[in-house]
Amino acid sequence: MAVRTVIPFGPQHPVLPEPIHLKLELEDETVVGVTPIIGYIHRGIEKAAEINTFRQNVHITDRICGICSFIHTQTYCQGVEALMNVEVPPRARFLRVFWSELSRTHSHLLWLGLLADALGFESLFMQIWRAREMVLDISEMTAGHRIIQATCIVGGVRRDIDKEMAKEVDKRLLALKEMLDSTIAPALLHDATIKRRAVGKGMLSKEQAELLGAVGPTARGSGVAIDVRQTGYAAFKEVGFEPVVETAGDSYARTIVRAREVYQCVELMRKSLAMMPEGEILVRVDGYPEGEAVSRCEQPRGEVFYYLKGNGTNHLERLKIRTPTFANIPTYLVMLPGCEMADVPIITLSIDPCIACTER
Amino acid sequence: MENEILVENAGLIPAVEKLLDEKARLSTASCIDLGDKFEIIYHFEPQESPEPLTHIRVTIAKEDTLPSISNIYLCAALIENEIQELFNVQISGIALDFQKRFLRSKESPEAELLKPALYAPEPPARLPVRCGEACPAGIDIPRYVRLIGEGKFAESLATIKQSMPFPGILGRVCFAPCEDNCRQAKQDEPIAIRTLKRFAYDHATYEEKITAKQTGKRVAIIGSGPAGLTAAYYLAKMGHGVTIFEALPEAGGMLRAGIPSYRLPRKILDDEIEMVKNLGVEIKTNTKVESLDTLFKDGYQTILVATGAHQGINLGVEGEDHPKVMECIDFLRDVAFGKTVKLGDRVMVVGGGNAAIDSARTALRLGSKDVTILYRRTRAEMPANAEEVEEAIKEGVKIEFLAAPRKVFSKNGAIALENIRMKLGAPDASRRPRPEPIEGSEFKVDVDSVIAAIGQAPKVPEQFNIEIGRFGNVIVAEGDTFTTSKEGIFAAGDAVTGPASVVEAVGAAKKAAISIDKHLGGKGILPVEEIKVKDPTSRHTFLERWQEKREVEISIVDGSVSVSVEKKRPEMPSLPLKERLGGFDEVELGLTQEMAIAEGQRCWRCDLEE
Repeated sequence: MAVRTVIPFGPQHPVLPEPIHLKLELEDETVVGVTPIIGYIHRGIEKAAEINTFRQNVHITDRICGICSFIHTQTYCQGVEALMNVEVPPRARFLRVFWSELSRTHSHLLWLGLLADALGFESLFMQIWRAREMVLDISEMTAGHRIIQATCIVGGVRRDIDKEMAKEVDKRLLALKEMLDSTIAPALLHDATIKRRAVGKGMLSKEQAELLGAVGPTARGSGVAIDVRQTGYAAFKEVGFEPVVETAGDSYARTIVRAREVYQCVELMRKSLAMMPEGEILVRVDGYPEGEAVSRCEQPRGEVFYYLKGNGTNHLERLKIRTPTFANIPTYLVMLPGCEMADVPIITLSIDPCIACTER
Repeated sequence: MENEILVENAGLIPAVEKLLDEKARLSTASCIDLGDKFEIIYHFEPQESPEPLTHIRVTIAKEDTLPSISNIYLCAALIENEIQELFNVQISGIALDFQKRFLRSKESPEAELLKPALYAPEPPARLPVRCGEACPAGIDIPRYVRLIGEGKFAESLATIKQSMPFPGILGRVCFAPCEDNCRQAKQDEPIAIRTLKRFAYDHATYEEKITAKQTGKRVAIIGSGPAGLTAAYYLAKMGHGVTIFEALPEAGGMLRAGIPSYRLPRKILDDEIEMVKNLGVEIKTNTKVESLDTLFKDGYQTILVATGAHQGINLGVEGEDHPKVMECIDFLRDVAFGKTVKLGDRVMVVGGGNAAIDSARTALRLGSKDVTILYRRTRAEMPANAEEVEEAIKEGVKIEFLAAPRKVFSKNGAIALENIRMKLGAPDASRRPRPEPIEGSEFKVDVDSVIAAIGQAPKVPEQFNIEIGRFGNVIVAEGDTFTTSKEGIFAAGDAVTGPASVVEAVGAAKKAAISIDKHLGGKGILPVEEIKVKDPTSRHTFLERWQEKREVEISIVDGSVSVSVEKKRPEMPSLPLKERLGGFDEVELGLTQEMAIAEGQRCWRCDLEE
């Protein structure tokens, strides 16, 4: 007779240093049920955004997430700009594409490193984070900060990238690509250990992904071609964009989606810098936001959703944030049951959970 | 906002369903606290173009409850849990309800975390379910339905037997309050719980055994109806010596005298009574008990009075003492015991309950050509089981609604009934509209016989000397212990409640048996056979509910069957109309194996933690 055990997985450092608690029900070694519980790191950001002025909120949204901070601010600014009918200058839109793709590159490399770490593949972990370091250097060079770029504000961006710097960035991006080609991609594509741990594990079919409302690489790994960048916000329409889709629906497919997206990001960044027109990067914004708007962007983990309600004062009446991990947590309910206990960490990691921004 | 749909609380579900049909993707929901009310906006991404989004906006008062859309969009469950917890909005029926424990920081999370790891196997937590709670006998309905779905018929029957001794009888004649309370009825159709019970009885066997030691105590039970038989079954299993006294020539009480054999074949009834007899219960038929004291003198320590409600209620109209005006209970009893009853061609049945339907269908089977039911309210208020009414109409019974008898005329042996039209007035104590006569609307119908089926009442012999209630002529008995005004005398069934259902009598008799055992010095623990079944966790099944149709392969004792599970109740195979009226053959033929398994698979398993 199978022994039935309940294992509290987390909240203290379950595979990644973010507090999520999974109540795993096991029969012998097999997971038969899972209850995800969050709420250990709620920071009250939505409420804080009602107390601060709408311009100060830019700095709050910058700090919702450490890894995709630029895209949070970009989404917020797009929402406020929609409320106030602000037309962002074209150069600013191209710069926003650049920094958002830089965040994505950073995030995906960080995650691929964490995956290697969770697999116990320490050397690959080090190599991937060496590549990540190159991205952080670009961030420091262009924005003045390694992690939180904080370049986006209402009306445009705060910093410009001149021709000389653009040339240097391009050079470094090519070096990054070379490193990906020579070191990281072969390991991810051909290493037997990774495949043994990821192929066929944590299956999420296309129907399940749609039903459970999965977004981002989690959905794209299951063959669902959703990506907000397709709507052409910022300058994605001009730069041109096709979503990366894998159809296998397992942990490996989600890994490959992210690895392929890193290449895509490098191309998008180079294109946006090359196509960037001359001109202003910021317009003056007067008045106060009024009315309601929704704003969406594609984060490394999927669609981020902002709902803003202004009442004609300096403060927003309501700011609602739905992060991609929030939409991806339900997929645990089908991905985990049936797997072995030893596979739980990799599968948990495979949606790239970002709990701090999920709870806001 | 553009593309906004404003809906009321009630219009939310249809609006969301429409978007589901258009294959829109739910992005999320936003809740706004407007001070005196909440505003909730659902954001959807349409399928054809991602921009602009479609929004559904609902405004509700703070004390109102919002219906959950998570049964349409499962992914809405998480955000609904969050809104429920952060804003205290009441949301009903969330598919994955975290019971306000989704965001744990509000409660102390340590409580759960400090719990020691469980190394011993723990049975899965089971939740109370609506069907099971509605059952007076307290049958573990979700488990036996699930076991049939898994092809384990014997285990299923054993599960039923844990709480009720007569699956063959109740699988046919139960009013099935469980099905009225089935949660699935809200989305598609209720599970055919009663029919599955019958299926289990028809397709599996169960071996009765007595494990208790003989106590040497003796119990007399007066009446061999469902209450008497149930009490006898349990008391015998608890080791007591039981004797049942029955006034009629055969045992069964109302099961035999009141339920026609096309609904409950005599073979089934005899088998079930035989099962009770095999436990050592002695049934003395043709024995009317005149005095309780003599029973005590004969050596019985305890007496259970379960005499039922066999006294018909008079119509209360002029001229009803004519021999061609009969009580339905007398009529049905005479038919059941094989007496010839001459009805003639035109029969008028007065009343709207199950007894009226039974009388009318029996009259058809006795050869009457023109059978009409006279009921003073409308179809909606009829207390009779809707399926039974449907079958009766199919067989050719006519129903005259909103009419009541006024007078019986008789001339030269022929009779006629004067009726009056009624209209519905204000609701009465039973919450049904009170029928009011329309003066001057009298009409006369020539009939050959009249059957009065407007109710029954208990008739307890005066010599029993126990306290009788002021209303309905019922015995006064304590709620849970079923003790009467006299020491050592208990009462249960229709004699206490007035005319009710078989399953209520069974449920009451179970409790009475516990009480009697305690009175005789026992611990009052019903003998329940442990069965070894494995309960699954339901998380595998919640996605299945969404499928319109699915194929499953189930292994049964001899081989395996593949069935397709659909979102509808199986149609009970029944006897063709032509063959029905010739005799008293059973009308419902029972489900096939495939139908029963598919039905068991269809159940949502509300009892499992989810």
